[in-house]
Amino acid sequence: MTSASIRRLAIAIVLGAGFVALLIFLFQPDPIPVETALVRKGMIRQSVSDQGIARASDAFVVSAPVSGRLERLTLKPGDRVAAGETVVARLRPAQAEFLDPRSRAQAEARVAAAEASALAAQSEVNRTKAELQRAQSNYDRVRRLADRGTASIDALESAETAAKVAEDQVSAAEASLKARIAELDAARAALIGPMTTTGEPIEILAPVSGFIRRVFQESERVVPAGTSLLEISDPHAIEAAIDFLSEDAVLIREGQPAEIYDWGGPSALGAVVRRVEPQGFTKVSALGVEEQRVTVVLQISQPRADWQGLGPGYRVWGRVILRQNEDALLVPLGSLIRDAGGWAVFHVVDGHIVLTRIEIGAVSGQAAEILTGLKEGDEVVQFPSDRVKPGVLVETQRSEGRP
Amino acid sequence: MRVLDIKLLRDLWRLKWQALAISVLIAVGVAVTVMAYSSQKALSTAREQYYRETRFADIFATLKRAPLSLTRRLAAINGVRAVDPRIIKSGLMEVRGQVRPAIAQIISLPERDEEALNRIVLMAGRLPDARQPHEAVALKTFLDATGLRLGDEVSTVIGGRRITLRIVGAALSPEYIYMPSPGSTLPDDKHQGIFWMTRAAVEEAADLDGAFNAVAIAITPGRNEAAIRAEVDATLAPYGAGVAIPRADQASHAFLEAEFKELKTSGAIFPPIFLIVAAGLVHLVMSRLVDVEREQIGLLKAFGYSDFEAAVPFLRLATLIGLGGAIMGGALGAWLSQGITTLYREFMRFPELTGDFHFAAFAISALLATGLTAAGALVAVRRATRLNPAVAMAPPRPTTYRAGILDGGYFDAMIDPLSRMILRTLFRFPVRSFMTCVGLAASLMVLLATQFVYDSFEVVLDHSYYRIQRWSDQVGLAEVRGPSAVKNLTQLPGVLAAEPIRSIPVIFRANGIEERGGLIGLNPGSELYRPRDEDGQALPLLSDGLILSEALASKLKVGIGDPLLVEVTEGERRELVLTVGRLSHDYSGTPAYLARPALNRLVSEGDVANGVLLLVASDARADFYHALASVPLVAGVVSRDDTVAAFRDIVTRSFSTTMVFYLGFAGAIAFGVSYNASRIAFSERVRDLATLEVLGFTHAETAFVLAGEIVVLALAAMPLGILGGHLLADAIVAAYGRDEMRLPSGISAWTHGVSLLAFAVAIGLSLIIVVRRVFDLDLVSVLKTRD
Repeated sequence: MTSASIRRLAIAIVLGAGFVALLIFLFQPDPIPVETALVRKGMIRQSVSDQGIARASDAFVVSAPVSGRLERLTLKPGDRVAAGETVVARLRPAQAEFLDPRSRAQAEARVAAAEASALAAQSEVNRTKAELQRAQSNYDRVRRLADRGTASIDALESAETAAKVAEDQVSAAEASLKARIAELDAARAALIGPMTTTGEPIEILAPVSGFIRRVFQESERVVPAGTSLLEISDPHAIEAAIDFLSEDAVLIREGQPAEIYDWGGPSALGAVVRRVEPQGFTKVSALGVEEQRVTVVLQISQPRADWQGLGPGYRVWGRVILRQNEDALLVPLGSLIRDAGGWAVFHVVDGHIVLTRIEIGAVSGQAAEILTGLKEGDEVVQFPSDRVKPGVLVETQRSEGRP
Repeated sequence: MRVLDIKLLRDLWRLKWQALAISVLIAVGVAVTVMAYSSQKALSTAREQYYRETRFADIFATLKRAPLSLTRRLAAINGVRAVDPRIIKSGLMEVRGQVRPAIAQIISLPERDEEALNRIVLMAGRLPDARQPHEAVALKTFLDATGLRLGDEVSTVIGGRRITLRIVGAALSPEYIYMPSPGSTLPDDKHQGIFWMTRAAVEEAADLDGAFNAVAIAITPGRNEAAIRAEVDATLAPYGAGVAIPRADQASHAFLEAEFKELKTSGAIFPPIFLIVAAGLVHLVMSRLVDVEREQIGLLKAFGYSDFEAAVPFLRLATLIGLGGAIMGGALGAWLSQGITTLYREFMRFPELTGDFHFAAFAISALLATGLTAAGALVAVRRATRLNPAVAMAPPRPTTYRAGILDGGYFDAMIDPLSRMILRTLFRFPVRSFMTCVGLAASLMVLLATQFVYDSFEVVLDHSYYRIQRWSDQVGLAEVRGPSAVKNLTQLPGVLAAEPIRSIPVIFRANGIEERGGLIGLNPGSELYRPRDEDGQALPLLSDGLILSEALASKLKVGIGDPLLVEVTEGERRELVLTVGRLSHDYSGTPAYLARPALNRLVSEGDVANGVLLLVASDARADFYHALASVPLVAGVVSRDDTVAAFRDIVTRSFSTTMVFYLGFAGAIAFGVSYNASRIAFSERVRDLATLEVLGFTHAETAFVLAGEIVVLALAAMPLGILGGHLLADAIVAAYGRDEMRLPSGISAWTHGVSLLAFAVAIGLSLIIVVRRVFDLDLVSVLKTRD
């Protein structure tokens, strides 16, 4: 073969090989772009949280001891009161009721009847007095006769007895008259309508020192006994009552650390679980589902100055911290996947994906604590797409997110 | 002329492979044209008929609640032809055998059918009986997809109450020809159930006795639709209505329109390209073919036939080839159109969708192709008949040989004579070489541009569903609720994380342009939904900045820092002025984002949400959905995994059919061009090649001279084709861009590899066939001079 033909062959082979190499290069699988994060050490907290309300821990409600007319309360919410000293309310006797026409007619008729009875009693008194006079004069006469020996002893005794009886009858008639007059007064009293009466007001004193929280009855009115008038409480004694789901409440114990957040202030407040109420109750959720809830009371452990603005009735969110680990291995929540009933992650090793089984401990809203399976600095895929499978080639892009 | 006819047939047989190659090119062009126009016609006819028969409305409005007596006021509006008040309520429905609950929508049937708009077409069973309270007609596609049958009972939670329905009929409706499912543009038949019940039954279920909460209005044609719509808005505003939407914005219709627009664009772009490429190549090839036959023409003239008589056989040949190709193309196009219609039938629920044949398109393209073929032949024939017969029969005079660019001493030393022959031929006929190169590049271009769509899909899926939206399920609430609602959902089985989302329907206005859309309120620092800029970096949600999608910004012609008028179309209609803060880069929809607290403040509401983004453990999904189906206030749920899987399914299925098609097309072009170029070159220079062999060169070396020409042109065509493919891909992206999906224009290495391989295979095949002829060269008969 000539050198030219050798050269031609060489060129042909080179071109052919070049083409094949190009094809091989082009057919290389493309690395899949993935977003990754590093396994880091950090703090993780496992907690349960729910919505609740701030309320006064000890509230004293002052109520009316008797029915009466309550004078207008001059104290306003926020006023300071001292135990046993400050007069918080005054009660006056109430006024009589109106009479409807029938009652009025009946009462007036009763008055007329009583007047007639009194007159009859008076006549009776007059009669008995007259009888007494006669019996007395008779007795005098018989006594004079008995002194001269003309009247018998029997006659004398009869006359004495008659005089005595007549005296008693006068007393009885007078007493009867008094009774009738009293009845007349009573019948007249039934005709009394509402008019200003005098009477001494009674004063209600504050049972405890503190501030007035709420005033239930401000204006003057007639109140039945037992009406709540106002509420006094200590402004420093504010607690948060959070309604947890009963399944969450099972995990909560007294004394566990907690925090109050989303209350409107700049940062979350430290608190402690003071009490888990024993009785659950039914509540319909915002989405219309019936749930069993338990009220858990949290006591804010930070000084009042930090949460000045929070008052009773304000909405708060409470979080009870069940478990806290300062130095846990953390992985972002978006990298967790399920594999054969357990947890796993897609671990990037030398640019390839390895499916690594892991065991997780505490889970927060952003990260999970790794107990076994990974170590610090390992790179895991966040939010893997469906093309990420064990063994594929990947091109990583570190995300700026934090677990 | 009988002799010439026989000659014609013999020639045809002799040139059978070349004729076939040319016909195939023509068939390709004609087929694409016929396919595009026929599918368009089929769809368009079906739709018009459907709308007419079912009295599809022009205006749709939804409201909270209004008394039926309001219908009279609506009917009294100038220009309104018919008013159909109805009740629409939706809720979740658990279906046996399905993990995720379906979204069930219950619609009331009008009491009197004559007044009805958007009438349903009953495909099986019967309409519900007014005396039976719980009978319903279901959407046929839902029944087919879920396997439910007539007589089955299903239950759904609507407005806090559980209602049981008995299915008595299957129907289709013009309002649901195409139903994009929430969260994606693909329909999800198994999870979208529509049920029509008697008015009394729906009134009871929705607690809307004597009232309606949705209305469809038909207007007399030719009236000002916008004005009527404004009046409807004004009439319905006190009843809690949003803004009425015209037919153009109705979900199903809008999608159909977009498909039509796409088909029209396809019809406008692809057929002309194919036709022009095919016709151009055919013209070229035909003229070269006839040039080779000029000996014969000279012979005929020598025998006494006139110019015309000698020319006619070739014209007939050309016409036959052209017609043959056109008929093949017509048949292929009809078959392809049927295929597309079947594909459409799967997605678009017409009661009847029959394939159609657009005769005009066929006729015009056939005429064009045949005409160009004949013209090509004619040009060459005239060149031949102008010659004196003796001259014509002699071997063609060698072209002028001057010292060309390559004839300097330097090159002479570098390149051996055979290679020089190749290069010289290429440079002597620059136009022809260029055209062949272009033809080869065109096939490579087609290969690249048709495959890149699948690469783009991957990028779009990855970006939309795994980078921007990272949630695994999204739950929609029937009404806005506070943060405790989000908390409630966190407590469902399998939920790892939850974030609230608030979305409000709005109309954007700027520079006199109006666009309907939604404002999405996300938590700042959200992990589950992160709008990104064009570099892929997550955009922070600041309390004052509006993040606008790039596509929306360009539609409204606004940029960063520009003010934008936003009209809230629900509740109290407010007009807000917002400033564009950042632009986000995405491939589907035209979203606008705002920090949720800021959004709630703008509409004077507290910390509320009307949707929740969730991260659900993949093996707890069944339990999650089951628990979710019993939550009264949940209006719908979207699963990311199901959406992506559906997309992938569609893509894979269409990929396999269309890929065979496009590879075939492009391969045919490459094969056709290279085979014809080399075959004709062979015929033209058969004497030269035989002479080479006489001089002592081997078969291989002679073959090298012939094949080398094509190989050099192919190598030159590769970069040209790749460049052209990228440009065509960009053009396709621009032409097919629409709201629901914009494609990025990157082409993957794999696609390049496949295209180049197909290209090489097609060319290699054609060269093998031609080179065989070189090896079978009968020197003596070729070199014989005719006396």
